[in-house]
Amino acid sequence: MRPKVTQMAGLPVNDGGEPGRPGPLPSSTRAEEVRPGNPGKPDRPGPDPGTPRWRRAEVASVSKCFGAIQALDDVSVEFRTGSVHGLLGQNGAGKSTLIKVLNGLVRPDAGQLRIDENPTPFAGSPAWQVSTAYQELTLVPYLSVAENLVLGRRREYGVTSFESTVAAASEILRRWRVDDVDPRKPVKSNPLPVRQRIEIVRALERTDQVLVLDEPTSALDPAGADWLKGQIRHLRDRGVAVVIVSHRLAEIEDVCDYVTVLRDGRAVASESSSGLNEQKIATLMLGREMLQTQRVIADRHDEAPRATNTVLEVQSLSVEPALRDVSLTLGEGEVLGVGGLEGQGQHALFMTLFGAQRPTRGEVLVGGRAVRLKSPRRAIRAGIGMVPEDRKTEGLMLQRTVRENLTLPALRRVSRAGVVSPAKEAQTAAPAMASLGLAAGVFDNAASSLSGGNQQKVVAAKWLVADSRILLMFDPLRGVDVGARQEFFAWMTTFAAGGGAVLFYSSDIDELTTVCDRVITIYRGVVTGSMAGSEITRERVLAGMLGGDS
Amino acid sequence: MSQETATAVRVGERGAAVRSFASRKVGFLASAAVLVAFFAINASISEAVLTTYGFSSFVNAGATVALAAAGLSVVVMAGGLDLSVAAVVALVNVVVATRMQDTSASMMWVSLLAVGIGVAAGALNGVLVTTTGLPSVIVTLATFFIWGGAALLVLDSPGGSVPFDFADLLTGVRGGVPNAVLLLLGLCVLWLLLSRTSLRVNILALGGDRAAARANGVPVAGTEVAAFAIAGFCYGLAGLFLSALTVSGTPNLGADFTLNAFAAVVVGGTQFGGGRGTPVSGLIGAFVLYTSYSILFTIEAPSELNYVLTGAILVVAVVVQNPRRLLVSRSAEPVSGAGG
Repeated sequence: MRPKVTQMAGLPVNDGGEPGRPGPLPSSTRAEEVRPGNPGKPDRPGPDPGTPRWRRAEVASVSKCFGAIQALDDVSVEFRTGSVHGLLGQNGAGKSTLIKVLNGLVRPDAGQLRIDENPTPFAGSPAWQVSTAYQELTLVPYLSVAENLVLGRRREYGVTSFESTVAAASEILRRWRVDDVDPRKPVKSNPLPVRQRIEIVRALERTDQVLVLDEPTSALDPAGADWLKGQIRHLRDRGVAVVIVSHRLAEIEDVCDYVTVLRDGRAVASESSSGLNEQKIATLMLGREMLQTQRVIADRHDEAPRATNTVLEVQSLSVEPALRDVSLTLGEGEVLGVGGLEGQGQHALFMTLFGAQRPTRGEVLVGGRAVRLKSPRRAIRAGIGMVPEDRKTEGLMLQRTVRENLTLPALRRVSRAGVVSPAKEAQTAAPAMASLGLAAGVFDNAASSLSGGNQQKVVAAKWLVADSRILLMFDPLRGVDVGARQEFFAWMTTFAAGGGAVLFYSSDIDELTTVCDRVITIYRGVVTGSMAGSEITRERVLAGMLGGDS
Repeated sequence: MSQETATAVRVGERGAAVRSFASRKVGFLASAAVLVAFFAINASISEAVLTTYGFSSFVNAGATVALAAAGLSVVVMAGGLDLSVAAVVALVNVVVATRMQDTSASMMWVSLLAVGIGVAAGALNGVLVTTTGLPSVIVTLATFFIWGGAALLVLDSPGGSVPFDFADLLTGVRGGVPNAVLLLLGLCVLWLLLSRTSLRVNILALGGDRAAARANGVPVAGTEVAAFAIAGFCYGLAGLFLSALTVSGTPNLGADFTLNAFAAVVVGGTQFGGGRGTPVSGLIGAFVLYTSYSILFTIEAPSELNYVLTGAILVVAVVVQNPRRLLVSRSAEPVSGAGG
């Protein structure tokens, strides 16, 4: 679908200028929010309003594979100068790859860029100059803010001084209305929101054509987000094509003229933002085809939540700045789902419960006793296991055998007098492997030889071997095929029924509604919803993920 | 704006600049203060070090490692490590000891050749690191053997000779000032000039975060080669100075020298991992170590204690430079990928 040329409602109407592009704005409305205090002062960079070098850039049928992963699949998007484009999608939807194609860091396997109908290379063309502010900031930590702002720009090897760099940087910061940053201080000494603004300022400063902002609000406070909106509008009015990449629509909704939604490497929608609301976009972003499953534990869903032994209790846990005051209980035999859009603090919650991150406040009780989860080792001893999303780097040692992976966290259990006993290893691992449906024959094969689904089974089996009672499963089924998913769900309920408990985060709502006894939702670091049994519906989970009401 | 406010603003800016200079250079100023304090202790025990002869032999003793440490600091700043220091210095040393004739023309040409060998060896390290993508430790371990072997090919056992005039040029005293001090100050001035180009920022950017440097258009490969080449330049000077000091050639300088240079870099305050530091602090670190040796010598402690003392100073220096590591338990560091 091609973007419509219609203008979004609420945006300025063309005042007789070229069609399809907002004309110069009356300075009484927007310009004043952009530059409070001194409207009309012509101190901003960029071409004069109304003179962009081109009007329409079409990214046509771009595809890109990384190994077996189809990161982009026949994606077509159109960008216009003087407009703001939202690029939305879940993690893994292809947003990052598309950014890198746009700014020339990744060469697509197929597809092309046409600027005003002329084929143009993505990299190295003066007609296509992209400046990018990355989410994973590209600031050099020990260099001063000033040196970072001019980094890579000073082509001349002439003599400069630190103070002249500071002067240039102060000018840049002033121009972009950042007045609370000391350009002399190292970047590292600034808190994350400030660092993100510095990253953004650097990108703002370096473009007059295409500006790509990758999750620009992920670390910004509301004031920072307002500041950013002002700068975005300013650049748009200067004829820049602004591309905002995000998974959170709410904060950028009102600045976007067009929205493209990516899912699984495909552009599933691309249209004027006036026809979209948050609910519709969220559905587009998340909506995978419904798994052809009946609820694995449909009967249990309808029971009232049972009074069970609480095996894990989290009291007012905060992990600044990701998570604030989260409390939850996990009972024996229970699968508790966690719903949340990407980056709402769920990762910090899981990492903290696994001892890999320190909480700033709050307590964790395992089996009624307060525990200090200072390290994963402590967490494992407390009976907690973690099945992470990225099995390849966090879950498994791929080069080692299944045997070694299975027994690593519990070497004490398979040792005699401190020496690892191969017989005891096999004996301890066998039931765990059988319970997950792993063939005994793979025991001495390298973990890398297994399929993704089987690798994830090894990670889970590892915690059976370690005799963990509480499993933290952080989106473990991403990229796992439907069949293996079904087996996993069945195993999770069996594990819980056998006296275990599972805390299960999934980016896929259908997984949550399928397998969970209860679901809580997290939005911006706080719990926004809690539901049990038959209350667990797509709609309610989604509402909670978007900020909720309950 | 009135004249008065303008002046006030300028004074305010000056104050900010001074404060920012002090805060940026705090590590450097601290190691310089330690050097002054050590030297004062040394002088209070024995005034010999304050005599012209005593001071010049003190500076001469430390200068070779100091020059090498200055060069090594640049590589460390860029996020690398260079194990080939001793081999390059030795190669330069034996070339000088076997080639230099007692004519001023020969002294000049061989000196240029010596520095050229240093620069070439360093640049080759850099080229190998950037083209192979291997860790610099591995590459320079290899070149350590290569240059060490080359030095043995030039001169298979300690020997050779260096003209007296040349030795005097570098290690002598003119008007009460040891020539070595002028050489070291000259290197500092050279670095000050160089640090006013974008090269210094590029080197620190490369060491601080390679991916970020690349994303910002820093010429990563060129910067890395330049860092190693600057280091090689310093090794060349170190080799020249060693030749003047020992008036002979020593082909197998050995790993001791490399380790001393590394110790000097760390004591000076340039931290491994890159992104911070200055070669001047390498000079200071080397002299902090040599002053401590000098103190041990003066109190007639067994010279074997030098090693123990080096180790102790190293540990103290690193701890002082990283006070937060003492306060924050390591397990609190988030694992990679954390921060969802």
